[in-house]
Amino acid sequence: MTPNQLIPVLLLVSLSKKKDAVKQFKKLYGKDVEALVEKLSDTVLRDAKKSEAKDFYDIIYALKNALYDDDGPFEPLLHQLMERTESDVQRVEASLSSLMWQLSVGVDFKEIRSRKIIPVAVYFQESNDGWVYGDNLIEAVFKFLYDHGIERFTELPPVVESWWKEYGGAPEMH
Amino acid sequence: MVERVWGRTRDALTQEQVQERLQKLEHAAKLKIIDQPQADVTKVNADAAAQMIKALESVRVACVQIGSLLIVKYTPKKGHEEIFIKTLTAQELMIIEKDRSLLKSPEDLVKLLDKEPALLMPPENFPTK
Repeated sequence: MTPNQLIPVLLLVSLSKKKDAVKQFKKLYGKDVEALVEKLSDTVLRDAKKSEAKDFYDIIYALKNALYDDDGPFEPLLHQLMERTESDVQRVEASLSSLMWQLSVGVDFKEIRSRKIIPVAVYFQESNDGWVYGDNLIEAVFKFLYDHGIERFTELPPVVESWWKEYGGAPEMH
Repeated sequence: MVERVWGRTRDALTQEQVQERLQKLEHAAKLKIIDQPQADVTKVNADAAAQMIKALESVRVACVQIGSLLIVKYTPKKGHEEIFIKTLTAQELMIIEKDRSLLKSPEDLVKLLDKEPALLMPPENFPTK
């Protein structure tokens, strides 16, 4: 889960702490909102931990604690997360601008030095294998890649029941 | 089912350097599969490769694609499970990008990549640029 996907989830979590909002959610979804919130928080935490971005994980962890404490510093933490997201977007924009500039002055793409994006996909013949072993396998793959200077960047939702379908992106380009 | 993640190099690299790294990965994984230690593969690399191969043990059939590096785990109807590792050429990558259904039958894919390179010639009207 990327920071951009995370913010709406955190807003939902924040909102659900207010009793009226919880009632509204219950009316709309007919579910136990607290459990839903807990589930979302756990998913967020698990994905943040997997990303190995320690500072990001720390922010999320602090956020979760703050959410369950009425006097917790939720707003400053959310602000911190949004700043981090903006900074990530700015970094991506800067590398894209640099790439465009180098291409526009005729530098051969193959010679351009930049942080390269590499697609990683695991295809399971049995969907069940994907659900049971998918996370472990992806984690093991990235541990292997980490020693060679490649880290986990961003995750896309799994595609179920269509393991041979096209997935996004071109190899080694950005 | 397909699990999809984007990886990113920690350092700024040229495309050639990325390819070199993927080839080193292929080398490290192959050495681990044939269980042959070699001086140019550090213990860290070997351990990580072993963990990845161990994670594959639980699955009967799966394909892992890391950029141009393809790792296929399959168990033939008759015979022992096998792991196939190969850095794909640009031509092989194009063929798979064009027809992902090839990944549905890993055993056939391995045969195609390993033994019948002539079959990988793209069709006449296949866009190459």
